[in-house]
Amino acid sequence: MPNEREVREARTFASYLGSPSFPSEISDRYRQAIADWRSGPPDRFDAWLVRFAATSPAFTALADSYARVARPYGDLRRRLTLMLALLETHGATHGVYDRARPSSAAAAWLALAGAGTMWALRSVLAALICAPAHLLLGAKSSRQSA
Amino acid sequence: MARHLVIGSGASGVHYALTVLERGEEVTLLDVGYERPTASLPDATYAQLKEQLEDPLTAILGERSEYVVYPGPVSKPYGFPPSKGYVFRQPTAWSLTSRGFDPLVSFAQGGLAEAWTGGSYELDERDLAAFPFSLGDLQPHYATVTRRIGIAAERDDLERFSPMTAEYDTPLPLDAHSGQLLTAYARKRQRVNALGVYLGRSRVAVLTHAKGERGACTQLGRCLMGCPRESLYAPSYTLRELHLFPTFTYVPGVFVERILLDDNGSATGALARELAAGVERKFVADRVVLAAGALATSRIYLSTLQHETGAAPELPGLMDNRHVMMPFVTPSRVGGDVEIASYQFHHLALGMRGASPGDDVHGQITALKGAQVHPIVSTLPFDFRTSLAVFGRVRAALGIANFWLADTRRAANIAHLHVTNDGRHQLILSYGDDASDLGRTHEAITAIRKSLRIIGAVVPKSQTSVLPRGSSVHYAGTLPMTNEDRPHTCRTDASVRGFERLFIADGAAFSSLPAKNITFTLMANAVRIAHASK
Repeated sequence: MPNEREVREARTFASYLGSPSFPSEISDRYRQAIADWRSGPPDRFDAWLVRFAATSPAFTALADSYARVARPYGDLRRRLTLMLALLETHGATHGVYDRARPSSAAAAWLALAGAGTMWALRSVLAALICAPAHLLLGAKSSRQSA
Repeated sequence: MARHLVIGSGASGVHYALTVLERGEEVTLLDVGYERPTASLPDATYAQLKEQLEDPLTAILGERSEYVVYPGPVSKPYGFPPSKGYVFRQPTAWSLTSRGFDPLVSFAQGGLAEAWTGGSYELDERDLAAFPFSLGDLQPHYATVTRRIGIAAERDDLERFSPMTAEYDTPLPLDAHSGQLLTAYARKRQRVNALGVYLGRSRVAVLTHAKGERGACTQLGRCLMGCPRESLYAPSYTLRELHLFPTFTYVPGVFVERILLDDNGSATGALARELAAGVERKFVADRVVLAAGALATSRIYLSTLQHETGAAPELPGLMDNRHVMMPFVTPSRVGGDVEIASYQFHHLALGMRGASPGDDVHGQITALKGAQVHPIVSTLPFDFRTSLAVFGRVRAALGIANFWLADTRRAANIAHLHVTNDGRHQLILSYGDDASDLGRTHEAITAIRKSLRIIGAVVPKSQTSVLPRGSSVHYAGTLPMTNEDRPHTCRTDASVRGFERLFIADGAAFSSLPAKNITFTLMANAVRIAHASK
């Protein structure tokens, strides 16, 4: 059921990106765009990372933290970029993204520090989980292509 | 009554045509002429557009989401939307290969300036040092163009680089971030000026008062999509005006192959191919004016020589501006609010004088307001969730300085022609790997970074990029105007040596390339050439 899997994946990614709702057009566009990209079998680690990320928004956060460093232009980052583009453009969801978050300077700096700390902790956890899979699947890919 | 055949409807072509039509002469304008789509909901802000359009996803991201900007080794802070697709569409008859150079060309009605950001600066004597005419010959035509298109400007420190002899409109209201930077500059001017850097308001071809069919800017935040009120000038508006003249004939849908010459080498017209039917058509005239843009004009010229002599020469001297992109953050604005519906492009500009005219620098500073979020957020050094949280807090503090260096003609930068097996004429651009301007580029980067720091903005070093050659979108110099009697050059009146009645009205005839955006000067120079053709 690849369609169902992709719809679930799209919904998970939308939730991870903070969308308040998930209009069906976004799901359709998401699947269509991904189908347009496909030109061959995906890299094994990329494919694992996407499957892992699609499990839940919390796992997406971990996979994305790792992908930002290890696969900045890989499949997961592309999928998340696509989803963000769709969410910020759709009439029902754009409001979350088309704005600043005004506050006092102190509150803003505090929020930035908090976000930075969470990111650092998440990155460490992400490395502990994703790096072994990266080593294992990366090695398998190398053996297969040799 | 003279009959003019103008090739191309870009900034140069339409202003040449308008000038000769105004004195009662006849113009036929040949053009590929891809049309600008009609703007939907012309009074809606960008946010309202998303809410009110039946299908905003197609309008903004394309039918198959092909306009999404994905992360990659060269980061792009924005992408053009589908409404600008017509500007970069290319006919199959056009073929270009380039080495060390990554140019954009346009076959749209209005040409590349359909996608410009409106920067309009008069050149000074120094900028024209290599040209065979004086500033006095050009200045009256800046006034003509300013009257035609409307330019908002203010007298300030930038007048030392760019005179203000024309009649300008009142400037746009400043956004809060740009206003803060300009206030800081006023307080700390001496320290910034000591680095050789001067700041002021951008001069932009935007209406702050209605003009004919065009409305004044109402800050819809849709500049990048193509202003639906036509406040930001585009040459297609002048093309529309040309249709009001009974002596004007517009022929879209044709691709000019070459110039027709008589036995004496005088231009008698042009041979064009209809794009739809593929048939050849001949157009005759008393004067032929190439205004297809420097690269397309070079191809038509080379194709003509190839046909006449069996071999086309190499044209040296292709120029473009070295382009640097420098994102910055103003920490005191962190946590501030942003007016999403506002004029999207630059409000501030900067100038730097080099040791010689070829070392001058010109820049434009844009504070981030309404913009697509995904191209920016995907390049931040965090995961998306953190990046979105950070972006929301720092959005009001983000900006970007784009600046350009002047260029001079160099022998290693060549345009030439290759005849393919199927007989097509392919333009080949070879850009020599001349890094002699990199020292000056890095000096400018350092001075501008320090200047921004003085006025309260921080530039992350790793984010500054020297962009690939060709990204400035200002190309010039393959058939330069000069007083020297050499082949493949133009006289002061832009007539091509060796070919009577053939003129070049676009950037191909520029003798050097100033750092300032040249579109305004392309228009003024086309008016000058049209006056000289009396």
